[in-house]
Amino acid sequence: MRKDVWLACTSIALGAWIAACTSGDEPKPAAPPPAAAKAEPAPAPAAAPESAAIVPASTDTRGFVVSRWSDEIPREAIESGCPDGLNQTELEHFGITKEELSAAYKKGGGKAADALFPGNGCIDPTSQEDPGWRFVQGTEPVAGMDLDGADGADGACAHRDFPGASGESGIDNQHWRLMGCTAAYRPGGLIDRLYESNSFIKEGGAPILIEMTGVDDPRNDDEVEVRILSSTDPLSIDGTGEVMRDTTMTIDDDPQFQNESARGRIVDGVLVTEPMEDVRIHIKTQTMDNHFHYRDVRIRAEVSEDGSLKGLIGGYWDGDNLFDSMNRQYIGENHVGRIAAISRGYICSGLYHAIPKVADGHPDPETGECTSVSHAVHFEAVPTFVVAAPEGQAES
Amino acid sequence: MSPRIDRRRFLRGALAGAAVTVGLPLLEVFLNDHGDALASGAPLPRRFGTWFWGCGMNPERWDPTTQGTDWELTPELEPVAPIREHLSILSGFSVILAGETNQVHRTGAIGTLCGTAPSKPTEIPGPTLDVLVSDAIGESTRFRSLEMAATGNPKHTYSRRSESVVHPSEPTPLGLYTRVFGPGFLDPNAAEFVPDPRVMLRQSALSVVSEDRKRLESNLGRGDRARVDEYFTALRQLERQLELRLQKPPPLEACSVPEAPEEGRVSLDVEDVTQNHELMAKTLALALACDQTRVFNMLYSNGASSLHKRGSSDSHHTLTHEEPRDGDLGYQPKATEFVKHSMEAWTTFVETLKSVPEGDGTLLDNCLVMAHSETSDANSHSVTGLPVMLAGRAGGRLRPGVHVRGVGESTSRIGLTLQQIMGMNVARWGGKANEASQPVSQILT
Repeated sequence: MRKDVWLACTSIALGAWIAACTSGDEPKPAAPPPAAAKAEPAPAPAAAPESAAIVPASTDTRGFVVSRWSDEIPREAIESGCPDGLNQTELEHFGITKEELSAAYKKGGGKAADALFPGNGCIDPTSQEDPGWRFVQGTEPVAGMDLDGADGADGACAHRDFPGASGESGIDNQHWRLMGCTAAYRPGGLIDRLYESNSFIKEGGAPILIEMTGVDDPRNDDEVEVRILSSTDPLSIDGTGEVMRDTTMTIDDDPQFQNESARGRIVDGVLVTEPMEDVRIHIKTQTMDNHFHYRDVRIRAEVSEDGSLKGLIGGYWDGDNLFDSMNRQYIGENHVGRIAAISRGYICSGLYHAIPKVADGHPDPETGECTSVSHAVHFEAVPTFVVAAPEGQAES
Repeated sequence: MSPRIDRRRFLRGALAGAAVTVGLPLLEVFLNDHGDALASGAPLPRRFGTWFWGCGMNPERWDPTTQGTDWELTPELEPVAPIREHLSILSGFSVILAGETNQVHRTGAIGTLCGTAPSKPTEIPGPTLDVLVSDAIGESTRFRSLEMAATGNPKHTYSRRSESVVHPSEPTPLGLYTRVFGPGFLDPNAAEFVPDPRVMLRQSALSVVSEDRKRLESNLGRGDRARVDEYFTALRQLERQLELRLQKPPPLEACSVPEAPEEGRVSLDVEDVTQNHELMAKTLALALACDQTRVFNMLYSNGASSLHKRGSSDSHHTLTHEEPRDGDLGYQPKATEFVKHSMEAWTTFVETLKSVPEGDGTLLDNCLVMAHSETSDANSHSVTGLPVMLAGRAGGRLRPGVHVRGVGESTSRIGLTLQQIMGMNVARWGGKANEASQPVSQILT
């Protein structure tokens, strides 16, 4: 039955909430992730799936716009995770000094600087030998979800799970194992500070929407439908500098971003969804004009008394898209992926060869090689009015 | 017989055969403006300038929390303590992207100076603020404006009329000195005045070129006409400034000709840059006192600051991305050291303007200087909460000593306010989400 007002939710501290939400009180994990082709074809423009038909806003529809978004970067007990040190930059690996790089650039621009390196692994990762990669070795607690319903796996997609912050087992977060020994992903590093500043979200680089329909009771509801969308509207900032609530955000009706919905349920103010098979989010910020492609995505989030959401998005990051989104970086016509990788503390070709080694989802039906990397994102979202794009916007 | 009429007659006689090409009507216009301004005891001229430093600051350590006149000196504002009473701090103002991509290390500066966020890396969405102001007040001085870069690179400039019309920076202190006080400088306090025949010829040639304009334009399409119009606007400014050099400047009490600075070391070493910046500031202050220009742009460090410590290969910019944050301090100590250098240099700059007596006060009292950067937090290239400082009193129109917090507001409000302070009849300014119609009233007297 429809409710006109949100019922009060009991506020749960994040740590306790993570513990509650990773204790198994959730829909059973999906069957092993479905097989997927290794190479992700470019999404062909197509008619939006039926579920993406725009649902008129109704009283049982709740919309949210993401106001904070960050990869899981554990803050404590990570010192032992990288016994061999951090990953090298391309400069360190090839023994090129910054002075040499700077001198070459001054002399002949980007081409001369590029000529110092054997190939450009950010554009063509096979142009260099595998330089190796340093993975997180330890099993310190990290946030995430048990995506596969098992504590680690052998054979295809073999991986070691992490314990959760409250000691629970089976946390799948191979993304941390992949990136955790990279300078930018260490606490206080470039990516950590980037997420902390939240400018990625607040300056409109990723207006991400969450739409929840069929909500009878925002505190306890056995069946709701949830989907993740992108918006074409910029975010508005309020007088405190935070993302403004209760604005109107238009759904990006580009067919590739019409993600499928999934069932979810709300128990005592905690929303838990089943997997959403493919989720693509439009990212257009600074040097990136791309999308993130996640697979078998679930949400676990507390619905706060003020109507906002706070929690985790867990799923598998498509491996090709993970590499592409990190390295396809441009300023105008100039590719800056190499410089970005140096600043972040890794070598593109190393990352390329490392991704299959930690991939733990979506085995290729022909080769058996896993093609996606388990991942967890912390997010917050505030209420917004989600509206359909005017007809014909995509064509225009 | 008035001195102005004498001056015109002298020019006619001195030009001899070349006189036929000198635009006398323009000289009349010029003489009226110029003579009235300086012979009638009118208020001293107001000057407008920008002061730029790259890679911003750490918002949590730079932004004061207290608004109004009791704003506190935060850790990164401590260096400005000596000039606190002459400063206003504008924090929290942003270039509103509204769907535009943040062009890294560019959108913040161009958006602030043009009032619109650029859509492309190279786009200049309108003349920069200094150009607008110089169009209004800069034609009665020898230089429309002076651009300076302490980094030694003439390309380090944000002053642009359009994408194609760029005002390069003077890259060295000696170069700046020579340009201002070298050949062509007319000492306003000199007893004698002899117009330079070479200037007359140049001015004449420009007049002839201007006459060709209509004929040329009649054969051009709309786009080319716009470009030619830009070109002739620049030529017209040059023409007026040449005309000015044919007049005997009125005496200026504050004007004194400095000695030429020694040719110093030009590099991106922060010590060299700081020293060159100081020398440039001194030369500029006297150029302003001698009314050689009323608009200027001083660049201490470029966007994506290339400054580095002597012997280090890590630039300020590189450090903002690559240096880990110190867990105990809570910030990046090496990168933040450059913020301190920038605030110290800004203080030096303001103190230099303040050191020149003018009228009943100082040169600074008749200036309006906007210090700004292209980012707030440089690591994330954030254009939210950009740091802006104003110095001076703009001849009594600018209220110093206040902190205004403008969270969620566009920096265009600042640009609009500054234009109004400079006497320009502008009711709204900026484009798209950055259009502003409300001035920042707290800084108005």
